[in-house]
Amino acid sequence: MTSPLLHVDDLHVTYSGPRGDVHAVRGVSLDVAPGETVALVGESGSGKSTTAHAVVRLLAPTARITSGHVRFDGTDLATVPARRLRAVRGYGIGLVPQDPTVSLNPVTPVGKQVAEVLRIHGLADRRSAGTRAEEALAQAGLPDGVAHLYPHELSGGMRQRVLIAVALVARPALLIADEPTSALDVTVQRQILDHLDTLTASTGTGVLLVTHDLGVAADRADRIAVMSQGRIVEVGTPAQVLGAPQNAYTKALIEAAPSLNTRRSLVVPSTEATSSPVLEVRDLVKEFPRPRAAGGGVLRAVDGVSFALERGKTLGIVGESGSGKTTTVRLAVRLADPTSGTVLLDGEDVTRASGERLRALRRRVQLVHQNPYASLDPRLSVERIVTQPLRAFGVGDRASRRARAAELVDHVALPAGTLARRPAELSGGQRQRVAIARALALEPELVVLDEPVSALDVRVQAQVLELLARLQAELGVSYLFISHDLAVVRQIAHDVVVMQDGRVVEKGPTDRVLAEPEHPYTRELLGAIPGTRAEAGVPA
Amino acid sequence: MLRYVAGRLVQAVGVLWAAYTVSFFVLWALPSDPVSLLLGTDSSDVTPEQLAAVRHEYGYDRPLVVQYVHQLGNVLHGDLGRSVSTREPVSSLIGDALGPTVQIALAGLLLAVVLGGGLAVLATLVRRRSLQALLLSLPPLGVAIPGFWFGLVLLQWFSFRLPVFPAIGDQGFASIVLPAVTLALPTGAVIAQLLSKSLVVTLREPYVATARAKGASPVRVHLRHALRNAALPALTATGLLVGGLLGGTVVTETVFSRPGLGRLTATAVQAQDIPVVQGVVLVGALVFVLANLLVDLVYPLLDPRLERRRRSAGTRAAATRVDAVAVA
Repeated sequence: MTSPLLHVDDLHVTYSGPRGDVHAVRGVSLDVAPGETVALVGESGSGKSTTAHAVVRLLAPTARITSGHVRFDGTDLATVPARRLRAVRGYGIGLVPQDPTVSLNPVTPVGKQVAEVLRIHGLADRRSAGTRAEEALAQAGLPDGVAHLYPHELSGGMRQRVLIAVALVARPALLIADEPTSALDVTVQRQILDHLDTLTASTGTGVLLVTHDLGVAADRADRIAVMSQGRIVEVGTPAQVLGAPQNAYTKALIEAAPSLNTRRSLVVPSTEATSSPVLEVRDLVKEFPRPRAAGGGVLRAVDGVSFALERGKTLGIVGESGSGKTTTVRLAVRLADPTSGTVLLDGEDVTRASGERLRALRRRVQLVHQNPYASLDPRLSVERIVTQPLRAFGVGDRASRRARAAELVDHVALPAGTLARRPAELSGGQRQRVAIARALALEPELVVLDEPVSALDVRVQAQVLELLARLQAELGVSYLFISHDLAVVRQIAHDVVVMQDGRVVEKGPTDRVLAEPEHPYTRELLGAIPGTRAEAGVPA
Repeated sequence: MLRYVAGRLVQAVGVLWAAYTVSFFVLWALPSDPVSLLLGTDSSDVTPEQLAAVRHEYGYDRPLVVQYVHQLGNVLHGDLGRSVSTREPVSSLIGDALGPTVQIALAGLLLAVVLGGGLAVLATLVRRRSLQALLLSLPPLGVAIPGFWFGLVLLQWFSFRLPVFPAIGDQGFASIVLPAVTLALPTGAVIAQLLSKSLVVTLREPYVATARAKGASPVRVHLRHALRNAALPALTATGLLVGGLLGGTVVTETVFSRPGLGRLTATAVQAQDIPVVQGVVLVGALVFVLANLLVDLVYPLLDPRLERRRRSAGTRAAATRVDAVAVA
């Protein structure tokens, strides 16, 4: 092996806070060779992002490097004076940040933001900087003429390409990419990562790729370093780490990753051959008036959508942002009124139900939201949260509600002691269990799950999916499961509906649709699932 | 863009009309008789017939609504009426007073923006925590100091102990300095407070981290990236502060014995000279409206996302209207 481009040696980072110090990075050592891609994988709080940012000392004001070395290009970046560090940032080491929607200056044209790197490091004069910025934008896969546009005029994927241009315009020897695609749709993610691969391969740039997604790491990295609780617990090639993991934590992580376990299925076997649909929608259409500034007219968010969900089964609705999947579901559960079309609940037309009838319908259909941090009232105890629907409908007395709360919390496998606690004392996975318990309180026929595991780490994600499957088997409840992630839907849904631009492009039994996709868009979605490349090379 | 400008202009005219109308009816409701004021304090020997004649001459005997329509018509022709105490036309009284006031107000505003903005940038730029805390505590102090006291202290030091600037009068540039500094203190303090708060928030934005990752120096990060984004709320406030600046001239011009709009206002209010007070209200509202119109027109130049901000601009305009009436 050639001498490393980056050599991190026994790095320690500590955050000081009101409740004392948090030792976030505990002795990390790591090498990146020229032209090599090293993925730093871990769950939230593992210290992976902190490690990456510590390399260029772009840490939060409360964090500091307490000991260790970061050797790059003959200097120790951990101790080098600020002025010399600034000469390395942007020039020697480029950084692609996590969230492209907020990482560009909103009041400056993007071309200028790319050119700024060259101006800072004195690599070009004003005019040639502009030209080279345009070249870098073109290399990042953006069309001509974007240089004079402002960030808000570009999509999320395009903004991330601008940030890639910013990071690469000065031809750095090392690129640090911190979750560069987690805020993007899966097909856009694939395009961006492909592009990053091509660019860095052609220039021999070393890459430190931070990701929570083992699939992404497996597809893109030469070596994977798995981080847990501030330490690197395992390092190796994708084949070594995924094929023959040595560490228990790594094993658990692989086991939980939906994209790496295509054979694992949680789908509850259905008892009856065919049953009547619990929910059916026919030719749903929803139009929104466009703002006058955008040219007026109407926007057809949902365009003739029909599907049926059989009792006791799970229907997955898959699509990328803007596909109309969330609007469709809001129409189906009557949280919004359709422009036209029919909604049948248990064969009964509820499209125009209002007043008491609508309230009765609310009792039969419950919702679980994506973000368990925002969907629970922080001031209420768990007991009050899960019994809220009971109180709203005046079900039972105080004692029976208390008993029901204990039962519900037990259903979702939380300890009884949870009842007295508040959401802030619970982890993300525990909170989502509370949200599920609340949804089940009124024994609904249908539970709508809107991206229920997207905000959770993979291991927690797997546990919540298992819980949902078990509850379906025990209670016979039906799920409408919205997700952008085909890999998750594959594990849990009996049937799947694929949506694009407000239309259903494909629907049918999950096994059939995923094994023999008919529509090109479904094939594209399937191909974009990270980890599919690696799977071929990994022994089962 | 043209629609945007036209909309702002219509709003500006609406604010002026509202300010005039509200002040007309509020002043009418005051328990004072303009005619007896007109005839002087020793008007006991005036016969009721003479009073009635004067009343008729000034149109005070007509129904209130007719008076209002008549006066509004005159205002539209540029006729603000005559002072009841000096009998001079209100427009020429205000015209004479405007010049000296504009001098100190503009100088005060400029000082406030430069010093307030400079303090905010400096306070957020310094690394030393203790120094930063000290600098950030200055704006609240500036707001808390009463204008008349500060003016007197300045006089004491820079006119009497060290005779650098003249204590009174409106002759030459030197006479502007102390009044302008007095006016700039509260305004600059508010600007500094708003801008430093806004800068602190902006400096935590991810795009600031992007700029640092490019290798930008702290000064560059501040001036090129944070300041322009952080300036937007401070700019809005500056438009509103112009009203406060006008109010400040009443005290400042009295302390420094300068002629001007503030002195004119003080005298007119004391003498219950209603036409003059109304003229001042109208001029005040006009200045206020123009300042905020200017802010609204500069805003889209600073922020390309204006299209999205139309709605919030609407609420800002509503706030402006309320403030204009409050100043009146």
